[in-house]
Amino acid sequence: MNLSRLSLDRTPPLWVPLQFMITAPLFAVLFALLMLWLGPQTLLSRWMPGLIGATHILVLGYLAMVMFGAMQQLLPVVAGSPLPKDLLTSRVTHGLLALGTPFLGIGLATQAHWAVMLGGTLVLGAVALFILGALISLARSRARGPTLTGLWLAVISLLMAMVLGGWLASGHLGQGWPLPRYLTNIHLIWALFGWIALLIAAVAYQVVPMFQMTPEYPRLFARGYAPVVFSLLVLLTLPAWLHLPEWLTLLMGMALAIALAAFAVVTLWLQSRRRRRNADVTVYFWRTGLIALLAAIALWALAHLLPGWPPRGPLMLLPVWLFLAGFAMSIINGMLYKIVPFLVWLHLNNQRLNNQRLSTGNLRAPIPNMHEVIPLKLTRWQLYLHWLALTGTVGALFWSGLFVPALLLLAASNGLLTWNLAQGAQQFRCWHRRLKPSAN
Amino acid sequence: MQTIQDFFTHDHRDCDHRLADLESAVADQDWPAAETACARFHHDLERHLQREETLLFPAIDTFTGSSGGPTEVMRREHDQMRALLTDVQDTLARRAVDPCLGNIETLMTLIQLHNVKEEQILYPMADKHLSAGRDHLMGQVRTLEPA
Repeated sequence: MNLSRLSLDRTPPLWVPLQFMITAPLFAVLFALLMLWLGPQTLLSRWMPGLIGATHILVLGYLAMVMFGAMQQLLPVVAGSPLPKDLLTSRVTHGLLALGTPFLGIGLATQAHWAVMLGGTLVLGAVALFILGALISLARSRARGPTLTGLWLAVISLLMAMVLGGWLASGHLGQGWPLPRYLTNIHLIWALFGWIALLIAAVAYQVVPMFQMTPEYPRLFARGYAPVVFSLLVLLTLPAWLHLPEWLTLLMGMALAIALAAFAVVTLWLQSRRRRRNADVTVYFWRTGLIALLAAIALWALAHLLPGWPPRGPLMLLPVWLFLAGFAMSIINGMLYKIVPFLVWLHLNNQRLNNQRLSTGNLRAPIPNMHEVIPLKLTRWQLYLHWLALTGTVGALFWSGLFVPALLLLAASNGLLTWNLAQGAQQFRCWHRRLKPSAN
Repeated sequence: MQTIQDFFTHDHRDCDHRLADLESAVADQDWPAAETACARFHHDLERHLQREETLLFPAIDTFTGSSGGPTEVMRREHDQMRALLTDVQDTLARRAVDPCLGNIETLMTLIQLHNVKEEQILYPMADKHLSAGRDHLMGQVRTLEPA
């Protein structure tokens, strides 16, 4: 390989990650509105079609959307290898996902087969294209280490979740293979603990020490965590085909819970030793996420240790809700406030440097720094709204009287997040114009 | 003998800590401490950048066969850091707390992303290809003082 062509500056254009990141919170708003329309009875069981549909809007439209965008920015940096045909891949993935998710989600919720078929096909196309691109990029990478291992295993987990999801969807449409309920659990564990948890861990190895200046993750932990979680997921998949005793499955589930809890504890411990004393909103979002993860695990374990708890009904949903909204959404939300301001600054700065190189346009315009891209005050307000929404939605699982206000808060929090990110994009547009040669 | 990866990664962390000290002092509006921290950071950062630009990168260029390859990108990012550090110094001199903190955060993020590329890709590559003359190179690196 020609080393001089090793690419260390393949920063994709701003719109590549930004289109994913600005669209994502709108899907959280859509989730809240759909749930409001469906009403609190949707929470009575995890098998309610409304709940399944709305959840897919949240996990595909919000979580996967941001993660796809972030990966396109991340791969050139940590792997030195961008997605193949990155601009085209990005446009097509975003288009298919943004279009397919509402059809799939609303189709599942209203049991409209045509919408599930249409939305499912579009979403499968988006996810498959992303997986293919990410695997090629990872295979081309010369980098090694825990982050790369974590990214590999996360993407393979997404592949598992996608295949199982497609299988389940075709079963729902009455044209698939047999549909044992256990398969839903396997689909769920690969999506949540493989794709989401492993990707967050792989990114955390880089960004926790980086942004908060903590010590590095202990080497043994960083090396072992993703392979251990992945192996446990493989073992937990076996009972779908082999008849394993239930205690063995439970034991493996407990091992998985301990591994996930260890990630939360190690990260909180690292953050407690951070060198940067100023706690910004991102630090609070991270802490919220990690504590929610611990709470989710504790409640899940409690449900297996205390017979008769939780009572049937909405409370059964508490661990998964804490994982999705408490852990994954909080951390992603916090990261957006680092990624978007930095990218806006980076692209404006590159434009200014270009001007300087070509001696044209505006050479020394004082472009906004990271704190000036999105007003810090608005990010703090959004953090408070997120906390209120999280507390409210958890409360709504105990008492349905909170259902409407909590979902309105969730919609408000994500509406404000969209607004804040759009402000970042607006700043870019405005400064981009000012830096143009013709502006002089 | 210490690897290139270990030495330079350690040097990165030292610079990071100097910058975090500066940030804390500015946030506390402890201006004498901030001036001292800024001078120390400036010295350590410049020493690190020059260790790379005058010693490590030319050595890397010999085996990649070009100075227009990965090291050119790294040199460009070094210049971006120097420009941002000037912004930090300007805002510090004006005692403008918020703009100074914003500039520090931006510089910190730029440095961190730059470090990831070096630590994940460039240093391991350098260790692999420069094993023969490494001891001599690292001897020079250690004693360098910024010009």
